[in-house]
Amino acid sequence: MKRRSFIKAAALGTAAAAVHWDGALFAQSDEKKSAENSSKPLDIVAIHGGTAAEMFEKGIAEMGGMGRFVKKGQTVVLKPNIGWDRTPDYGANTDPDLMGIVTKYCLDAGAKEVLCFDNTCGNDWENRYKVSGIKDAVEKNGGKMIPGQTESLFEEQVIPKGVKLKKAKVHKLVLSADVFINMPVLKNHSGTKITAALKNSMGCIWDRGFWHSNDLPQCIADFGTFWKTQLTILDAYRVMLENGPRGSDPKRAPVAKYQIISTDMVAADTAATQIFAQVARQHNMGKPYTTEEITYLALAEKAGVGTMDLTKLNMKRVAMA
Amino acid sequence: MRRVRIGFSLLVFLLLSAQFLDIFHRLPESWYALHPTQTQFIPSLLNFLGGGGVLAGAAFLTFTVTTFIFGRVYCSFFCPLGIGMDIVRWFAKFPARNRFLKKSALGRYCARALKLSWERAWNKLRIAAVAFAALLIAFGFTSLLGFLDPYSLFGKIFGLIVFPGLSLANNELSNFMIERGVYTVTAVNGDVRVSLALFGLALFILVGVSALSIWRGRIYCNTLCPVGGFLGWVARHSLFRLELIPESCGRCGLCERECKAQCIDAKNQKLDFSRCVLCFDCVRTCPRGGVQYVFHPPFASREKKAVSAGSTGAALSSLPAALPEAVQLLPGSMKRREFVRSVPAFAALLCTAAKLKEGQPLPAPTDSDVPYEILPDATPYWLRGERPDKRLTVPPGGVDIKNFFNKCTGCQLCVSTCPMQILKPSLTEWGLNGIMQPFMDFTKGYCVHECRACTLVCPVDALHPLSVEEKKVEKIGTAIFREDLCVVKTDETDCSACGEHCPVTAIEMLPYNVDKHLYIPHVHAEVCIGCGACEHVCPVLPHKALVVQGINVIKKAKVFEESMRLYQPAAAPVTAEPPPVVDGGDPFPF
Repeated sequence: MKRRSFIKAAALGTAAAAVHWDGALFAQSDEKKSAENSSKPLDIVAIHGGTAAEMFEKGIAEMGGMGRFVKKGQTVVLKPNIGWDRTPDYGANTDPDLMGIVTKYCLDAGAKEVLCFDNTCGNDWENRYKVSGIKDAVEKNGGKMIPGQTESLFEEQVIPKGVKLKKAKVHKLVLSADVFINMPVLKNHSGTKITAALKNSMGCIWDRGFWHSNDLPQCIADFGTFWKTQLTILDAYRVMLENGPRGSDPKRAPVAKYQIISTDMVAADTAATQIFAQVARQHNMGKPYTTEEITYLALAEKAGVGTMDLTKLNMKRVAMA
Repeated sequence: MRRVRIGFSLLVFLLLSAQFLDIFHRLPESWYALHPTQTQFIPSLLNFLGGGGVLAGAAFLTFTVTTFIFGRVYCSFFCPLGIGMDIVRWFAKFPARNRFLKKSALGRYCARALKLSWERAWNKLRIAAVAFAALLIAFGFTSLLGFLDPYSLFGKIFGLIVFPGLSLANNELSNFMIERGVYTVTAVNGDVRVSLALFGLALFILVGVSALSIWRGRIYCNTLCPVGGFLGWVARHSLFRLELIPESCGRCGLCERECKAQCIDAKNQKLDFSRCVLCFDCVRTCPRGGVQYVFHPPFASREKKAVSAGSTGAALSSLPAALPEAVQLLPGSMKRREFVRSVPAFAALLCTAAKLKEGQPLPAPTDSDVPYEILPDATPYWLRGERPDKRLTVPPGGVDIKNFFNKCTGCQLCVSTCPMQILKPSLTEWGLNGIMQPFMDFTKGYCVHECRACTLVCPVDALHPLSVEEKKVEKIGTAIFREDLCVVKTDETDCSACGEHCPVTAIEMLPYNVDKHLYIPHVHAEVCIGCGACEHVCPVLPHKALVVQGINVIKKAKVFEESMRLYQPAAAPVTAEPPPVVDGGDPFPF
């Protein structure tokens, strides 16, 4: 039942988005490599130069406003990265200001409720919701924090296209959401080198250990085939370059002021990897990984989750003054 | 006075229970610092003997002194087990008291069954309990002392029954509501379950104590309880003692029936003050004010006192029978001498046991070609079915394994407090002598880097309070890595769950297979604090590739420095100057 309503809502949302598009605004800003086709809605926007909240406001306007994704009366689920008991300056979790403003935008777009959860890395999840500042930011803006670490909240699901991951216990909100917004943070990761949009799915499932012991990159790609997200808002305001994903020191997470808003997770991660490499070079810290080194990207592309070829997408780059 | 006693004791009971009822771990740290357990007699005594100073021993000293003045103030006002027993009795008496049930068969039965009367003191048992407790303290068998000490018994009941029960009930409620889309009640952190055997033991204590209290009131306090025994001995010489005043006493026996310590002999107008728990029920019951405090000047000899008591009383003839058993136990009594003689023998027995407990040989079982690495200071406690080089760790703040064993009474306060619920009471994990003392169970979670809750709550200083900074480098063990078990080697896939969770960067990922972009963990042993994060998240089963090996003496870990890094990623890229971010330039690399 839930699933059916979800699919219906998703179909409705897409149709509505197409209809609504014509009236959308196009902010004129410095664009380049004009792959941008102004008659079609944007697939991906990369923003640089503001605070996380400012960049989001600019970027979502470019994407056609929150109304393109969130319709009246829908339930929106935000999935940030709240893995670690770290304050925002470590860059280990999604920026709380960004969480706050996205919550607000969703509600302003008419969402019935905005729910937010993450299966944190350690069972003091309440503490992590708090320390990251996300609980405060979301609740202040009218959203609700939902526990992400109660086993009864997870439902066993079959992953039809899974290569290694055939089954997974998935958080109920993943299944019941009308609009699912993936809100990862870009950072270094000791295992997968970089974590961003695709790897953020590990906070939606119960048994991460299985993934770790059964070809982690393949599992990430497998789950991508199952996971329906309408939007990815990738926070790279701070980029943790070293000692990720937990982070050892705020100095290793310099302020880089990037953000990517995309409908394609693989594309968002591909762009993010390049941003990571650039920031790493600029600060002479961490390793400038290539997209080939992030093995789950190619696997996800092969599985049809998205594309690594940014030129195929209707993309816009926005540099804020 | 009775009302004051009831109100006050309920308050104390509630304050002492608060930590056990705090299933969401929301009590502030300032609460721990002023923790009500500091009012407890045995913990305070252990703290005092452990070198905690006069302040640590404040409760023990205060109660000894106040008992010498007024009698056993501790027993009815501060002892959680005693208060608990009173509460049980109060509930048991309910049918006899209730307006509607009073006349029923149940009401009449309860009234009859709960009626108490004067009983002789079992002084030999009392002295034995005190002596036994003293020996247990002297030889460091505090885990056994924890089965006599009323506070520790109370803690066992609350920590092993009430806390998990409440938590599980809450989780059920939470599930029920979440299924209906209400998220107001959240499940508690971690796995609160305790081993069935220990739950059974705690249940046995609960049922036993309740049954004793219904059967004969405060019988436990006046037989097995070492605190009751010791304070009773002090109360015998108190300056102010409750007595039946012969002038007003009509020997009606009302007070005797009410006395839960069964220390009033109304017929002979005697009140055995050494057994009196100072509940003041008798004072309130007597319609003629026949029970009152009488001043006894100190240093009066026994004979004189007997005379003075006789002068106030009429029935001098009843003295021999009425004087507490002490008279019969005066020097010269054969039984007492025998008892005294048996003490050294018993001490010798304990001494041997203590030696055995310390001298446990290191078991070195092996089921692999590669020898297991056992570091020189590893604790000797290993678990059946686990990797042989996995060793139990003393919780943070434990100083060393002896200090921890010799102080912890197993009151379960830290077990209930642990926000991750990884402290679990030992059944045999810490050996036979370590029963109920907590060990760290990394299958349930890991020790959070900045958390120090257990060290703050410990009433006996078995876990010494740590600051957050101290806790972050408190090295309780070392993670031991075995490459032959790691998925990076066995399956040639990425994992790095351990490196990802390590809070102190003790795990460095070294290149393993460059073509496949594989990295394998390496442990910097001197940096590792033994928090168990890597062991907890390691996905390899049944034996984890990383296990924590506890150490006997807790150390300060080194802080990771970049110079310790074994692998420097291909030095800074060749681009001599980093591409500058010029204003107006293109910030996008794609």
